[in-house]
Amino acid sequence: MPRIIDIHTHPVFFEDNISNQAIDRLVRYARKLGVEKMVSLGDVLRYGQKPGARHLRTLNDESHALVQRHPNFFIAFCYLNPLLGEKAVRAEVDRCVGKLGFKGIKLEVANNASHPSMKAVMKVAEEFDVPVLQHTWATQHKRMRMTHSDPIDTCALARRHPNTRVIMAHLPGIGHRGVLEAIGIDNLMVDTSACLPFAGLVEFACEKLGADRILYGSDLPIRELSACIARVTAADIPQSAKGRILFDNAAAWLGIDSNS
Amino acid sequence: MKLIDTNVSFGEWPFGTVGITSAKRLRNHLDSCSIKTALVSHLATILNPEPDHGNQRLFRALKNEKELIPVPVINPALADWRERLDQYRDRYAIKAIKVFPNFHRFHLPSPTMDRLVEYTREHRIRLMINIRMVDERHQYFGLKIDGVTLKSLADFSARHGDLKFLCLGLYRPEILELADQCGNFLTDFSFADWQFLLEELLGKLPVERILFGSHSPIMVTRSNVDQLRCANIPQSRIRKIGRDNAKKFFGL
Repeated sequence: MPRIIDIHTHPVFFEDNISNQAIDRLVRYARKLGVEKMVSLGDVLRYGQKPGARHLRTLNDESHALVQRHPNFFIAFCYLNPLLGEKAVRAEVDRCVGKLGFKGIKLEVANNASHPSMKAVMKVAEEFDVPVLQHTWATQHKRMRMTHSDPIDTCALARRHPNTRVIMAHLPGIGHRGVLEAIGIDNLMVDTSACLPFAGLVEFACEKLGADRILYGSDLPIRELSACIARVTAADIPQSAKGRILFDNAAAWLGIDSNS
Repeated sequence: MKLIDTNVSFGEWPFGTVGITSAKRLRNHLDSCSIKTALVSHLATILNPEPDHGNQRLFRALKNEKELIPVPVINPALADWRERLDQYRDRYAIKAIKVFPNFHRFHLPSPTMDRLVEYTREHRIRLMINIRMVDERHQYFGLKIDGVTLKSLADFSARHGDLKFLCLGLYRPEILELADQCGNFLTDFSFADWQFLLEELLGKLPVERILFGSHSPIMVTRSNVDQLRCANIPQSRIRKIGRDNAKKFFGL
């Protein structure tokens, strides 16, 4: 069975009263499939596209509660709304990353990655040395790009901040164009999460970026874990590349001891 | 357990880097994913103005592969569909036909389809309806084909209340919604996706109405196989979905 770190999940999703029993069941199921660690990004759309500080605190507290219940399994990322400004961003990162031990920052669709408010986020991420996971989808020529980052936007963000690590989410959403956009940006990784398991993309990303720049992610619960894992395990790439995508790269980026 | 796959394509898909053009390679690929038998259509039938050319290529390619069952594509909007279908029946003893309403621009609830349905009843051929080939959000920008609408499926279902037909490519919310409206559709789950999916679907649909379909090779075959294999449902239900339902529906 492969060792797996899932970098992109939403264990709590549009439910503010999910039971511990349901969470325990998810953990058991994921472990059965080889998932050793799971990054909780929070229930990011429960309060709309632009959540306020109070809502962010609620969502991040839920991620923290998951970590407390299953400390050897869950890892939390701090969900932020950059539009709330530098003071609010810093306060939540201080609380979540500084005090509660969150390992990264999650950004969704409050704003495009090219928005000026991103500067404060990237600065604080660099200070705390945590990666920024940016929701990204091919939205070129679409009105939704005001809030949804196209791969061009996320890649430009990573280029502007070479000392901050960026995870460009959703390989199937960024598609072939997004993979090509990411070539040569050493501080940027692509995650495999989301969408149906259309064939060929993992192979393409491996060929163009190298397996060292890809992280496995599922986007659970919108996706079924077993189907997401098979997207990598069944890919026509070397076994060693699968190991890096499924586990090693994330372990290195999140500072996880591979032997723990 | 060896599976029966109801949703497999042969040939090249022009909007991606995937495609299998050798019957032997297709068989080996399916074998490697524990799929013993597959119902296969040719991708060249979808974008061609008339599907017969692709169907003939399919019959020729699969003639020595008894576990790869050819499913010809019929466009009932074309004048010669009945002659073509007579010919396929006479020569190849077909089990099923597939239609692509939105690629071939005809309505499901229509006199055109009524005639085709009557033909399938008369000759005991199963009807498969392709709902979509890709996620609409990722279609090639020069060709946008929406999925078949739930309304047309519901109207078609009501028009032919005692006809059992298999839908290929419904999304999860569509299956759940249709389950409330129609009692005679069967479905694969290649485009349905959610944590613990099959448990949820089985809460709405009798197990007999869910069939395994991988949408291979356009989708990662192993993904849909594992979704079934890892489902937290009794093995007897996995066997029905993965094999027995298709065996019974298609008379295999």
